[in-house]
Amino acid sequence: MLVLVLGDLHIPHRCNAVPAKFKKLLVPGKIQHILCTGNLCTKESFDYLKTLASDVHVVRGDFEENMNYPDQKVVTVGQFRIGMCHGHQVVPWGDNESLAMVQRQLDVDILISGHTHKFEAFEHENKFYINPGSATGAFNTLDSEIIPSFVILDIQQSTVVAYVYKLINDDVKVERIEYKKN
Amino acid sequence: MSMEGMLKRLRSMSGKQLKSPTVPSQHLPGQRQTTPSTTPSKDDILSTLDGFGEKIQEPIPSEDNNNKHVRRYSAASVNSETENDSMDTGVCDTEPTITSITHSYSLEWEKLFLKTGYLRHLRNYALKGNLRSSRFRSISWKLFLGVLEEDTTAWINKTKQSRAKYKDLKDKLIVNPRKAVDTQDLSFNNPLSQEDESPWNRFFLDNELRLTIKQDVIRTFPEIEFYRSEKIRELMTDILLCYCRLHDTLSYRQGMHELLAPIIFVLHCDHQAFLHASEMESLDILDIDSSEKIKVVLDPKYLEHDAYAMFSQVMLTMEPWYVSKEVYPTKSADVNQPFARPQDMNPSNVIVTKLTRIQDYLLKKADHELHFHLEKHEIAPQIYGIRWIRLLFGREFPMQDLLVLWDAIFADGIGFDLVDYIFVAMLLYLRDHLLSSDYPSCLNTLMRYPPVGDIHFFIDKARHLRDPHQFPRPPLYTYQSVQTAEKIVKQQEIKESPTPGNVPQHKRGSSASLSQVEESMFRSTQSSSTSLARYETQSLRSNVTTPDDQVSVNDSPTRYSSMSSRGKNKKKKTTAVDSASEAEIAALRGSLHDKESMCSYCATKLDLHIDRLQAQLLQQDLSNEDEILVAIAGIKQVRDVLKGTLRFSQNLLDEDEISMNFNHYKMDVSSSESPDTDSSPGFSEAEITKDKIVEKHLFYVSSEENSEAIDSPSDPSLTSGANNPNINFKLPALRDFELDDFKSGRKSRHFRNKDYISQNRSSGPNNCESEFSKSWNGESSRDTSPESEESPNPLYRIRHNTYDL
Repeated sequence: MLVLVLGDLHIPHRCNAVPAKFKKLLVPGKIQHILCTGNLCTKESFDYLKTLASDVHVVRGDFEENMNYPDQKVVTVGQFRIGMCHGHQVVPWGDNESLAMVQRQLDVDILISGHTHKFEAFEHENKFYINPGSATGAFNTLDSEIIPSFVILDIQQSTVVAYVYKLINDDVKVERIEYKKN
Repeated sequence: MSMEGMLKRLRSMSGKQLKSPTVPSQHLPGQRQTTPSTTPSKDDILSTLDGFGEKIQEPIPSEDNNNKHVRRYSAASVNSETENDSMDTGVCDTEPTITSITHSYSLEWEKLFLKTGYLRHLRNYALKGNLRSSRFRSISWKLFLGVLEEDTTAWINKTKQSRAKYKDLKDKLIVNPRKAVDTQDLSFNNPLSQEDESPWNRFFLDNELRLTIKQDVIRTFPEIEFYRSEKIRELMTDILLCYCRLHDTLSYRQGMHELLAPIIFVLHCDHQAFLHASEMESLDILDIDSSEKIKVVLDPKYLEHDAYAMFSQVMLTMEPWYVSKEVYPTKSADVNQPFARPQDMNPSNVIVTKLTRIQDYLLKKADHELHFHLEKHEIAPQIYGIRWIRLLFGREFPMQDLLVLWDAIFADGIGFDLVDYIFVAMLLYLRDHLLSSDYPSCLNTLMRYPPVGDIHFFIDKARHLRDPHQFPRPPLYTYQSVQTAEKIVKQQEIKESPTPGNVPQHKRGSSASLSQVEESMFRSTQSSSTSLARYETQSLRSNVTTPDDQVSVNDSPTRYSSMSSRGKNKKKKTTAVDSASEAEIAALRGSLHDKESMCSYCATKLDLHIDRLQAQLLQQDLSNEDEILVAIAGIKQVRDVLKGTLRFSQNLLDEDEISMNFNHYKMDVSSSESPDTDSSPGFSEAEITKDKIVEKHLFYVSSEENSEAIDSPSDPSLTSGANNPNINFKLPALRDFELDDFKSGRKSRHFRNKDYISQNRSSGPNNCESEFSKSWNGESSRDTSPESEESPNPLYRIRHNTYDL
C-alpha cells in the first residue's frame, strides 16, 4: 500500500506551484492515502491532492486558510499507527526529544511532522520519525535554500519502506529507507 | 475425499447416458424425440456439482458396474470400426468380472494408451463422444493439442519441461517489486517511476490487467460450485495474466477465461479420479513404467502448470479469432462500396472473415433457404457467432455436453476445423424455427441457444457436412417438429415419413408462431404497403399457380404477410437480379410453410366458433332455423377443407355453396365497384397495370374476408350470403377501377357512399349489418350520415352491393 507524505506547500505565498517534475511523478491510481503535514494554505492545493487519491488527511499549519483542520491526527494504515502534526507547536522546532514527547502522547508507531522544510527520517527509541520537507521548496523562517522533497511510504505488513524524492539541480533523486516494526 | 462422491456420481450418470449415441443410427426421427430425457440436462450436472461438498457414500460395486457397462459399450463401438477389430476384445469381454471391478482404472489406461498407434483410435474414440466418462480425458486432450507427443516414453520429460517453463514464466512475468529490491537502480525501482523497465510500473500495469481479468474470472460459470473457490479463481487469474503478458499484442480479451475454465475442470476431475483410483485399487496391475507415468502426468500439484500448457496450445489456434481491429488498425478505410454489408467492409478482421465464410459459403451450400432467410433479415453472423466461436460454444451447451463437443473439436485436429461445421450444424438444428420467425425472435433464439438433447448430433452432422462421402448423414434431428421434419425429409430425399405421434406437437409449434403471422398480416393489409410489395405479390402469384388446389385457395393472407417483410429488401433485390428467382422460390417455400400452419389454425378457430354458434342456436327458437343450420353445415365444410380432410377440388365440382364461399366476394368486388371508379378522375395512370391491380385486390379483399370469418363467424349476413342462390358469379368484362387507394379516391367515395346508403335503405334483410357499419363510421362522422368517411373495411360495402344484384 502506498502512502504519500508531503506538506508545507505555501502556495501561493512563497511558491507558485509544485515543481513540474514532481507533478509528473504524482499520478492518480498508484497512491492509496495522502498524509499532509499542513500549510497547504489554499483550498486549491487541497483539491490538487484530492485528484491524486481520494483519502487525504491534513493537519493544520500556521499559515492555513482553512482553520478547521485538526492540530494533530492519528491514522491507522495496515498494522501501523501513524501520527501527524505540523510541528510549529513543538519547540524547539524539529527537536528529537520534543517530537518523541508528541509520539508518546499520541502513542503512534510513526510520527510525521513538518514545518522545518528539511527532509528528515530517523528511528528514535524504536519509533520512526519522518519529516517530508517542503514539496515546493518554499523558504522557511531561517533558510531560503530549500530542497523540494516528499516521501512515499510503502507499507507491507510490519515493514515500512520510505522512498524519498528530492529535486536536486532539477533532477529527481530517490532514496530508500526501511523500517521494521517489532 | 468429498470430490470422490461427486465424481462417482458424474461417472455413473454419464455411464448410463452413453447409450444415447447408439440410438440415432437405428431410430426414426419421431422416436428420437424421446431420447433427450436420458441425456444429461443442465440440471443434472448442476445437481451433481452441488453435491461437491457432500460426502456421498455410494456402494462401489454399483459404480463399477456402470463403468463396466460403459466399457462394454465402448468396446463394442470400437470393434464396429473396420480397423479396430482386435483392439481390446481381450481386455474387456474376456476379463473376469472381479478383476474388471477392482482394476477398471488400470484397464482403461491399458485400453486407451498401451496399444501401438493408439492415438488414431483415441481420436476416433473422442469423435464418437466416447470420452464422456473417461478418466483420462485430460491426457487425451493433451495428446490432441500437442502438449504431449504420441510417444509415451517422452511424456514424463515433456511434462516436466512444460511445467518448468511455466514456473519460469510466472516468476518472470508476475513481478513483485518488493522482492527485487537490491537488483535495480533506485531511479527505476521506485513506486512512482514511469520507466518501462521499472518493476513498479510493470506492477501497476499488471494490477490493472489483473483487475480486468479478475472481473471476468469471478463470473466464470457462476452456477458451478467448482469455480467459486478462491483458489481456483486465483489460479485462473494467474494463468490468464501470464498468457496475456506473454502475448502483449493481443493482451486479454473477454472470453479467454471461458476457454480456460473447462480445461481446468477436466484436469481437476482427472486428478481426483487418479487419487480415487490410487486409493481404491492398486495400480500394480500396470507395469511400473505406466503407473509412474500416470503419477507424474496426473499430479494434482501441477494443475496450474498443465492448465497453462493446454490453454496456450488452444490459444495458438484461437488467437486470430480474438484479434479485433483495435490491434491491427485498418488503414484502408472509406472504400465504402455502395452495397457492401458490414461484414464485407472489414476484411482484416479474422473472426468476421471466418464467420462470413461460414455463412456465405458453408451454410449456403448446406441450406440455401436458411441462408437466404438470414440474409433477408440481415442477421449478420457476427452478431451471435463471435461468441459461439470465441468461446468454442461454451455458452451454448451445458458443461458435460460441452466437454464432449470439445473432445471432438480437439481430436479432429489442432486447426479446430470442425468448429465451422459445428457452427453450421447448430444453425441447421434451429432451421425450422428460424425460418418461421422474424428478426427479433431469430436473434433471440440465436443469442440464447435452446437446450439441446443430443450433442452427438452436432458432431456427426458437422463431420457429414465437411465430408459427405466419408461420413453418413446423421438421422434428422431438429429443434422443432414435423412440418419441419417433413420438409427436410423432402429436401434431403430421405424416405422416412414422420410418425403420427408427432402431429399434436406440430400444432402446438405452429400456433405459437402463427399469432405473429396473423398480426403482421393484418397490419400490412391495413397499411396497404408499398408498391414494391404489390409488385412482388403479383409475380409470386404467378409462381404459385400450382396444381395443388388446397394451396392456392387459402394462401393469400399469409403470402401477403410475408410480402410485407420482403418489401424491406428492395436494395438486395435490385442488386442481385439473377438470384431473384431463386430467392423467390425460397421465400415461397417459406410462405407455403406459414400458410400450412395458418390453415390448420383457421380450421381450429372455425371449429371453436361453430360449436359456440350451434350451442346458441339450439337454445333459440327461430323461424328460419333451417336456413341457418344449412349455413352452418356449409361453414363446417369450409373448415374441413381448411383442415385438409376434405379435398377442395371435389367440393368445387359438386357443391356450389362451398365454392361460393371462396369466390363470390372476389367476383363481386369488381362487379360492384366498377361504376364508381369509372367516374373518378384521378386514376388514368392506373390503367396501365389495371389487370394486375384487379387480381391483387381480389386477394386483398379475400384476406379481409378470411379474417372476418375467423373473428365473427356468427355474423348472420355472412352465413346467409353464403347460401344466397342469387349471387352473380360472372366476372364483369370491364375492370378498370381502383379499389383501395383511399387517399386519392376521396371524391369518388362520396358518390359511392351515397349509393351505398340508398342501397342500404332499400335492402331489408341487411339492416343489422348496416347498423354495424354505421357504428364503425360513427366516430368520424357525428352528423349521422356516414358520407364523410369510408368504412375501413371494404367488406361491408361489397356485401350490400352483392345482395342487390
